[in-house]
Amino acid sequence: MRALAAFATALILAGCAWIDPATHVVEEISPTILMYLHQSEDAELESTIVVPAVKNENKQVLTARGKMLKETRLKLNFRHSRELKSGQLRMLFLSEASARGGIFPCLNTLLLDQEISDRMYLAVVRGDFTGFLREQIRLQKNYDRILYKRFRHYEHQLSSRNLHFFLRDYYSPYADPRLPLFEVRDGQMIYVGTALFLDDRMVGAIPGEADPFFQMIANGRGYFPNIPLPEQDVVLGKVTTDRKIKYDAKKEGIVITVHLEGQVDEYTGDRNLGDPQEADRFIRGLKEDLEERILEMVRSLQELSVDPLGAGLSTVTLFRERFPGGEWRKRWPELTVTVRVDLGLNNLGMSKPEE
Amino acid sequence: MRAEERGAAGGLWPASLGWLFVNRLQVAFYILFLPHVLLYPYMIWAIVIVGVLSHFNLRLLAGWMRTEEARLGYEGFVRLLGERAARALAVPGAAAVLLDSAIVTLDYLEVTHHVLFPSAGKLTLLPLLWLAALYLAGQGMLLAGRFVVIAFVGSVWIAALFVQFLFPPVAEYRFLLPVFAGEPRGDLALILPTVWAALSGPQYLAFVARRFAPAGGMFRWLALGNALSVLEYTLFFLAVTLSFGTEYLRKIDYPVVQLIRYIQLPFFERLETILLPAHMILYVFLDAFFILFLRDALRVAAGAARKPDRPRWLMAAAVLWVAFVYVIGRFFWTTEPQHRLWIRVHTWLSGTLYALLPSFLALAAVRRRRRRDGP
Repeated sequence: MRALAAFATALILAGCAWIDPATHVVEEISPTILMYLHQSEDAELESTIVVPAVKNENKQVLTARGKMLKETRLKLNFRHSRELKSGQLRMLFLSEASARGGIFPCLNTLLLDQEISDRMYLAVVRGDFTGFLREQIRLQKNYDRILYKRFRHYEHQLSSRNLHFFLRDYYSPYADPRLPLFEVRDGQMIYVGTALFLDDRMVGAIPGEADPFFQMIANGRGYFPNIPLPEQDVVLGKVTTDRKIKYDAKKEGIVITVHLEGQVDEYTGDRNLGDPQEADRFIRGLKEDLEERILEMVRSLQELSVDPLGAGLSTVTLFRERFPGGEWRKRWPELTVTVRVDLGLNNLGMSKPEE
Repeated sequence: MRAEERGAAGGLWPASLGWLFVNRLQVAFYILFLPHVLLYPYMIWAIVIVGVLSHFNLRLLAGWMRTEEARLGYEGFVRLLGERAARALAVPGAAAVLLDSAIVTLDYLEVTHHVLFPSAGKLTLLPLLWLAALYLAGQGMLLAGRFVVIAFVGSVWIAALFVQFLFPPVAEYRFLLPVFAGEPRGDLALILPTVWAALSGPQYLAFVARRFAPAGGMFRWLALGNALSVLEYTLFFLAVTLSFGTEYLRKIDYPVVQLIRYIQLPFFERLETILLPAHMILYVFLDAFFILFLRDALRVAAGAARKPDRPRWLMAAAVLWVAFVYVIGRFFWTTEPQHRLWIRVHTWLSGTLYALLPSFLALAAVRRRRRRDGP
């Protein structure tokens, strides 16, 4: 009797199908992992998804238009034979036009949807992404999964951001959100830098060449397999960075210190790095160059009055907020910024100095 | 043989069960809810300070539980207050137990509905929960009380999953600043009672003192449970504050559940589908416990406390309980403001009971002893 009761309980509890009005056998639903939203000014919202295949079907790319996000979802549902589910939604791509127009309404809708995980990656795309997807899905059947793997792999290198981090920066009075920026060009999807947001609107971008320097100061710790510096005829390799941002209350300025360690992977200049004095001069030049680049970038951020570094957080002390309310936003563009780079290169890529 | 072990063999709870009771009774409801109220970093001190206050309150409670009257059960209350007063007080007592358990249960049902079963009604789970609680209550107070061990083991491990949120990359330590606020922000008149209510629950032990084996050191066990609760609240508070920050936290209904949803194990995601049902073990225990209290209160109120117990009292209590929960859930818990109102009601009800009951009973016992020993 007891065993029977236990069995019955397990049956009832394990299959909640009788609670839910609809059955969710996997062949009856379409858990999509990728969504693309595009909205140009005054036009309708256009939402595109990749529908997974069951058995011998082909993957499909579906698009629907509507005034609101969930409305397009319903329209997509009407268009497809299986019910679309967003429980597995892992990536949301936003067109540059919609990013510049403000994306908070969409993100809020997605945040409220309990099916959708906060780990969903966000990215901004330039160009005709819908057409690109159609093409790629035809060529490589699993393209949506491949894209997902790409995001996961580069989680700590590119400005790969998920919904949680985006909204955290969005709500914080001391930071502004950022997203990776991709461009579709010649049938390829290229990482072209970081999109910068003021509130929920994209206001600018860090170009791809400068992106490593941005990552260096945007994240507390970082690792870069390579940092090319063509102007200095050098490529740094295996670079680990550690940055600190401090607020100097006396001078009313921000001090950014980057501790950078690595080696010289490639050098095409004509200095003799085997000579300690020459090497010293070379390293000093490199250090000044890095400091200048980073400073220039921070200035450009100040011009846009965005703070994707979260520099504002460093102004809060144990006892008080120096810039409470929205004060930080107003002060950030005017602050003086000092950048210091500690450069430690442990292998100059040349043969050892002669004894 | 030590007294404690003899107690266990003689059909009593060993005193060491006390900390499990205190901890689970305190944590059950507020662990999901409290971090939503404590928005600002400096409020971590509120948890600690109120925890210390609760510690002293538990000392009163343990003092009461040691008295002869407490050990006598119903007869003890009759000695203290007189039969008429004891019977009269059983009615508001039953109402308080009903309200307390109804709010706690409905809040859990609301969360599961919102997160797990949005397509099924909120009260769909109620019959299941009720049956489980009824079954447990049917085993009698002794076994239902011992179930606290299983409730503890079944739900305490959830806290371990939150340790990862104390470390980067999710944790941003600077969200904890300013931790010593010069001018406190937020409504302290709301927050302190809520933290106090979050540590309430052990007051119910005042009525089951006779179930514990008469071993010394009861207070030490109760204090241990209290300390563990404070530790758990601090952990959850830190995890939530470090991963969301004040401003974002303000916008989220259940930050703890949201964080559970963020956990991603290499082989498993969407842990809330496991964690929320696991949390239900706790509610089965609580509801069984409350149904038994309700039964005893009904018997006392009806003047049947001295007669032998019959199953129909339990059935009456269980039906009353489920009907009450259903009516509240169906008609008075449909909108967000109502939800907030009920939680406010729970805060004040439970907090007041916890603040007043132990001291009231301890005082009454002292007064009686004086009167007896005096002229």
